[in-house]
Order: sequence, then C-alpha cells, then structure tokens
Amino acid sequence: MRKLPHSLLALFSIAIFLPCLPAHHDTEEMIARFTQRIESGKASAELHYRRAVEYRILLQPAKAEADLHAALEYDPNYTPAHRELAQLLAKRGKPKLAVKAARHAIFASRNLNERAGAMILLARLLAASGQPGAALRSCREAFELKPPGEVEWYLLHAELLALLDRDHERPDILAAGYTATYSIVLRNAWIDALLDAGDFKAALPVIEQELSGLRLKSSWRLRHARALLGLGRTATASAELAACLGELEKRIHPARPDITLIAERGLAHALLGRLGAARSDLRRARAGGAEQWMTAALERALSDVSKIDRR
Amino acid sequence: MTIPPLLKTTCSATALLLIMLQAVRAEQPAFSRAPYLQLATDSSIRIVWRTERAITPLVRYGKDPVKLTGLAKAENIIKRVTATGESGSPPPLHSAPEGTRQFEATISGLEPETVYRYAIFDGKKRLTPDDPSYRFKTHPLPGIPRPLYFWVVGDSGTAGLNQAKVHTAMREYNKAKGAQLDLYIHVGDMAYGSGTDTQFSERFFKMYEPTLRNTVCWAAMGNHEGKTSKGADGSGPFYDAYICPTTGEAGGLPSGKEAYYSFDFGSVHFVVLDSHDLDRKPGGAMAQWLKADIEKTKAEWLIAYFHHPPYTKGSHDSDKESQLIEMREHIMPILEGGGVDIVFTGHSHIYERSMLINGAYATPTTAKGVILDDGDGDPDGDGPYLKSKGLVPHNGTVQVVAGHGGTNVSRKGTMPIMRRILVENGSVLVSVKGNTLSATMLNLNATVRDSFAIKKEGIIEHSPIQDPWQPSAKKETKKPESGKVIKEGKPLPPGAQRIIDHSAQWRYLAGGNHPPKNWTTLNFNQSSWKQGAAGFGYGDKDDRTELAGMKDKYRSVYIRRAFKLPDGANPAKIGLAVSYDDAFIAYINGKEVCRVGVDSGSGKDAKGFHSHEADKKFEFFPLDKKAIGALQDGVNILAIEGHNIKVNSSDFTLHPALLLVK
Repeated sequence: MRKLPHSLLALFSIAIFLPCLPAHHDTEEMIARFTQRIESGKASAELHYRRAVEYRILLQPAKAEADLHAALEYDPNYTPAHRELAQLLAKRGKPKLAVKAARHAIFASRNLNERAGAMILLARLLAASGQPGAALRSCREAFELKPPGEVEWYLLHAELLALLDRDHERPDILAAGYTATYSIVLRNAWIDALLDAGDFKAALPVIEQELSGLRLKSSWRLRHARALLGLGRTATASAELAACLGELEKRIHPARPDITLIAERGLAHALLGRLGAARSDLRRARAGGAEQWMTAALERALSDVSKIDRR
Repeated sequence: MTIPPLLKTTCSATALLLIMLQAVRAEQPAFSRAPYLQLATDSSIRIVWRTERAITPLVRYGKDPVKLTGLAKAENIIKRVTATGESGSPPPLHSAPEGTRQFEATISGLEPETVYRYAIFDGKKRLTPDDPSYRFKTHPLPGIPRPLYFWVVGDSGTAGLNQAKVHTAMREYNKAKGAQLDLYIHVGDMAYGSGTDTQFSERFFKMYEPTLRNTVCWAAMGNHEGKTSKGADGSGPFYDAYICPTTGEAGGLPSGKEAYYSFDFGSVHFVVLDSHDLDRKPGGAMAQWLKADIEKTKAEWLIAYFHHPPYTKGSHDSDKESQLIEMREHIMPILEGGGVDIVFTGHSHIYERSMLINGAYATPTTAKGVILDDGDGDPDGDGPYLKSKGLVPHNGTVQVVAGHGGTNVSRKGTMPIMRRILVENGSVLVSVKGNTLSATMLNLNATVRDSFAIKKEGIIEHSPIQDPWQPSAKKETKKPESGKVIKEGKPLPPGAQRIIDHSAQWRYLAGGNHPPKNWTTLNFNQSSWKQGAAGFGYGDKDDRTELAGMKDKYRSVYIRRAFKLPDGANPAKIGLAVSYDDAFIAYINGKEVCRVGVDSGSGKDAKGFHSHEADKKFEFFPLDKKAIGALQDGVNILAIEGHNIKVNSSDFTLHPALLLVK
C-alpha cells in the first residue's frame, strides 16, 4: 500500500488531537477553574491541593493553608498535601505544627522514595526548630531508606553535624557524597569542612590546584587564605585576601548585592582584622536572607580575631 | 433497499477513516520514538530511540555517507524497558507504555566539529532510511571560538497547528538562508498538560522529529513536565527523554543532577537551571553549583536558560508569582555577578525582549537605575548593545521570554525593562559569530518580528540611564500602532499652490540623534537644530542638503518648518507632496497626519519599514480629517521624520512640500 504523504499524516494527526488539546491557563485562571469545580460539588483532596499550590505561587499562604487542611479532610493520607503543609507552616512561623505535618507525611508515604523524602523534610524542620540531634537521626534514616541519597541530603547531613559541633565528622560525609554524586558543590563543601576541622594540610593542595584554573577566584582565594592562616603563613594570606576583596568589589552590585558575595567579603574583612566592615557585611548578609551556614565561617572568624597577624 | 444519504455519508467517512488508519498501520513505523540526539560533546554523542518490539540494536556511523564504518554494538547500547515496580540498572522507564524498549547508544572517540552520518539497524535490517538528514555534528573543542547557530523554543507542547507552524517557519527560514542548526534549546513546557510519557511522544518527539534526528535538544524542565517528573532525583518522563550531563562531561562543572547542568560549544558556555521544583535560594545546592560553575568558565559568552522568567507581564506576572520572584531575587544576582550575557526563559506565553539591563532584582520590577542601554539593540536601528570583551560582571544582560512556541499567547501588562513585546507565536534564532551575538524572533509565518545583537569589544563601562525609554502600555498587535500605513501616494494634482515650496528651508536633526518627544509641537525649541533646504539625503544626487555622513552611521532624519495657511484656504484641499526613500511620518502641530512605509512606532522606535525609491518623483498625500483637525489659525508646524530601511542603504531622500490643490 502506498505510504500517505507526511503532510496528510500531520494534518490527520492534528485533526485527531485537536479536540483534546490541553488548555493552558495562568495562575489566577487556574485558581478560578479549581474554585468553580470545588463549588460545583466536585471537591476532592487533589483539587484543594492543586489550588493550594497555586495560592502558594501567588504568595497567598493563608489561603493555601486553608486549602491544604481541606484537602486532608477529604483524604487524611494524601501525602502531597502533608508535605506541602509542613513546608508552608514552617514558612509561616509555626514550627511545631510543621514538624507534626512532616510526621504525618512520613506516616502516609506510599513508597520508600516518598518516605525518605519526608524524612529529609522532617530533618530540616527539626533543625530549624532547634533539634539538631533528632534532625540528624531523621536524616540518617533517609539515607538508609534510599541510598546513596541526594546532593542536598549530604549538605544537610554535614550542616547538622556542624550544629552539633561535630565538625571533624563532616569531611568524610561530604567526601562520600562527592564520590557518590560527583557534585562539585559537595567537593567544595568538603574543602570547607576540612578547613573548619583544622585539616589545613589536606585542603591546601586541592585549593591551590583549583585556583590555577579559575576565572573568578574570590571564593577560592578565601579558602586559600584560611588554609594559609591555619598553617601560619599570614603574609601570603593577607595578600590573597586583598586580591579577594579587589575582585569582590567588581562583582558586588552596589545597590543590590548577591548575599553570598557579601558573606565572602565579610569573611575576608574579618580575616584581615577589619571587624567593623566584617560586622557590617554580616548584618547585610543576614538582612538579605543568608542562611546560617553561609555566614558560619564569618561568625567564627569574628569571634577569633587573633587568626591573623595584624602587626 | 435505499440507504439514507446521512448514513451513506457516515459510512463513506468511516470507510475513508479506516482506509487511512490501515494505511498508517500498514506503514507501522519501526520506531515508537524516532531516533534523536542527546549529550553532544567534542568527541561523543548519544543516539536514542524507542521500539515497541524486541530488536538487536546496532548503530553504524561514519564521515563517509557511503561507508558507515563505525559500529556501536548491542552490548554497548543501553536498553531500558517499562517499569515493572522494581528498580534496577539501567533504571527502568518511569511510565512508558508496556512493551516499550528505549535504546541509548553512546558513540565516542569522534573528531571535534565533524559531521557524521548514522543509521540504526535491527541486526542486519536497516531501520532508518538512507537519508542525509540522519546525521550529527560534534561540538568544537571548548574555548575555541566557532560560529554557533541555535534555536530557542518555549511552551510549545500542544501538538497543535501553531506549534507545527513555528517549527515549519524555522525550517523554511533556515532552508532559505542555507543555515543549519548547531543545537536546539527548549526552555520548558514541551509536553502539555502533564509531561506524561505519551504526551512527550505525541507533543514533542513527533512534532519535531525531522529536527531532532540531527540536532541535540538541550532542555530545561517546565512546570507542566514537573507534574510527572522530579528534579530532585531525576525521575519521570522528562528525565527518561533527556540525557543531561551530571559529571561535567559536556563542559562546565559536575552538578550531580540532570536537573541543572552546563555545557560548552566552543567559546560559548550554557547553563541550564531547574526553576520549577528545586530550591532557588542562594544557599541551595543549585545556586551554589551555579556560582561555582560560572566562576570557573573561561568562555567568551555566557548564556543561561530556565523555565520561569524573572521579568514578564505576559500570561504570568513576575511581580506576583513566587518562582519568578525567586529567580529574579536570588539567581539573577549570581548570573549577573558572573557576567551573563543573555537569559532565555518561557512559562509566560508571549515574546518579551529586554533592553540591556543590570541589577533589576527589586520587586516590583522598575526601570529605575537598571537600564544600561535603552536602544533597540537592532544593528539596523539603534545599533547593537555593546559590552566588554569576555565575561565581565554586571556589564549588561538581555532577557528573552520565549514562551510563545505554540500555545495560546496573551499579555497581562507591561514590564518596564522590555524593549519589544509581541503577543504572537514564534521562536528565536540565535547566532554567535566572533564578538557578536545576533538574535531574531521569527513568527509562525516565518516573518522576522524582532532583531537585536550584543557586540563585545574592548572595555565598555556602563552606567544606568536616568530616564530610559519605556515600552508603551498599549498592547502591541500585528497592526500598526499609530496610524494607517500608506504604501504609496497619488500623482501630483495639476495647478496646485505651494504653501511650503520644494526648495524651502527647514530645521533638521541628523547625525544619529533622536529628538525629545515634543519635537513635533509648535513650542519646541529648535534653536540647536541645523538649517537646510529641502530635500535631504544622500546617494542619488537629488538632494539640496547632502547628508554625507548618514550612510552606515544612522538611518533617521527629523525636519520641521512653520507655515501659515493662505487666507481663505480650504483645509480639505491641503496635501503633502513628497519625494522619499524609504519611509516617513508627518505631523502637524504634534499630531500624526501621514504615515508612509512605517509599520509601527516612531522616532527611534519606528519599525517595519517598506522599501521605496524616490526616483526624483513626488507623490501626493491628501490630508485626512484628523490632519485637518490639527490645523490652526496663524502659525502651524509641519514636522516629518524620514527613515531609511537599512543603515547601509545606498541612498536616502526626504523631500517634502505642502500644497493647496484647486
């Protein structure tokens, strides 16, 4: 039989699929459609959950929360709603309720993947509510459920160890994560963990090798300076910090800075003994929403001004 | 027995449908997903395809199309099958139809920048036709400057007519230009409504099949794919379809995740982010990777893309929606601090293209203090945006929202940093050649609707413009913005009286400068303008005021002159006589009264010019009611802006007179 021309086939397939073309709507329209369906007696856990997500996107957390509670009334084991609710409650400053919702999410999990994800969520919420020990246990359970874990899990694991003042355990965790995932973020976090743990000799050759191949070097100049200071090479460290600050001045937008760069600049100032400038950057980074781990090295340096010879 | 006509028609239609279905069935394709390319590097590529039956897969390839001497054997081809509930290696397909086999052949040891032909076999049986379109080209070595030409599409996956037209328009345009794509980037929403496996097959792979067989699509995940796929662990139909680099194998630093990654093409570095379902905060793993990646690259160009636009007022509003706000507030500072040149996004169903901006992270977005160059960026208009050589932090970025690849387009408002806003379907074609990146928005009829370029040379220092150009709040349409466009005038009426003579003196502004908004009004201070006799122009020896420096430098000239109506003159009998090349807009006392050969806009924003030769002839344009209404007793001002279609045009003429006909 002769083959149909491609154009005819294309038209044919378009005609077949045209009636079922998906309609795409913007966020407000989606909410209106969900509302219409809910009000016309077709309410379900999924519909309330989906409307809650749209409300969350539109930065209307109260409405989102109400919808998530409604979703769970329809189906108390609807896992996505528990997870979404836990995160929303944490953002709304209700840490205890958030933890409770995360525990429900674990309970309602339908498979190991979901359960592991919920364990990580719980670990984050416990850490945020000042329970790093419990958080660490939850995090480790997730690893057991779904080895080898994900990039973010290793970062969380290391962060929890830092909160528990177990810095010496962090390098191994991060090195294992790097081996498992190849993520450069874990490799860099491993170097930072070596520095935090005082293992400057192990960190230095990796840092120096990395520095040679970079276009923008400020982050690694900082690491280099920290290693050099740890090894007592203060003059070289000072020169490296000055170069770091020089580059950062070009990269930091004066009015709307990247807070990660502000945290770096603060650390460079602190290591140079410029405490006023360092404290100012710390305040600015925190005001910009920097997470605790991002300013941890800066805070530590501020509390230990003797790390550099200021002559 | 008599068969009723309706039944007869229905039977005929059914029979025809069955015949068509049978024809399709008889030609049951070998593939349930035709071969497509993935993960190209300077020395390797992946070829992926699906079948619904067991085969013995082989790939033959080679530089010589006659002798495909290279061979990827079955044992070197990964076979993935439909999930059965058990995990394994290689990972099963998330939700493919039962019986699906997906084959992923890695071809390695290739030469850089080299074209290879390939063919798929089932044992000895060739499955792909002997067709030159089954080919691939390896990337150039990282850091080596090579021309690059790529296609940008977003929000296309409807399997509808507009999606097909946008694809066809690109193919026809490239065919006419003799151009071939080096790569294809998709900014997400390629398989509406939920990115299911079947939707991917029907709304992406089938729709773009002739392009995908020889062009790698490097994709960012959209929110619709995000309904069934997860960036966190790279599971779902999106991640079954795409093979994304996780270990830095295509350039850049290893991300450890398929959800965000980078790749190099010569001296161009691309970063691809997941704006949908991963942490977008500066402390998140994705942002940390991004910062490290762009600190490392030594490319000449940095191009970023992801789904949710930091700036839009199309079908979505970046001042109101959390994902868009977070990409702007958290990710853009990292990108601009690393010297990004251009950012492509989708999600919002519109085409929006910005001026050259920096530091626009505030919510809501304003133009204050963030516009570095408010020109149109068009090489034939205000000229390309200029940047320093290499990647320089905060040296200016162009944002392109390309969410117009096939689905319905719409507009909510006006984003103040945008230079071009078009509510129509299309796609973007981008060329990087040496120190210039050029981009065009091609609509679904293969018409170029926007052009801009970024040129890098020496050291360019920008400071924000205090009072930048602002886009009109009025929605742009395909029709002209300001008035009726006239293509040509009428023959000169005999015996007309001259109100402004053909050789009259005018005040004029040339040299590439553009006047302020009130230049057409009576009380505008024209003292700084030069004076010269009509006509104005160059190149065809018919101009009293020769604009010797105009060619290759600028394309617009502004002239104005006062006049009084003769006593007792009937305003309805007044008209313009103009010899022109190529286009002009005339104003009386600040009101536009005649638009010839200019589709839209005015002054430096004028667009859509039509070519016209003066040929030393005058054409007559009677004034309409609007023009008559603008006339007043006493002194009036006639102001005319003349435009050349191209800055390098061989000639230009603007030679007006004002007539009172009998």
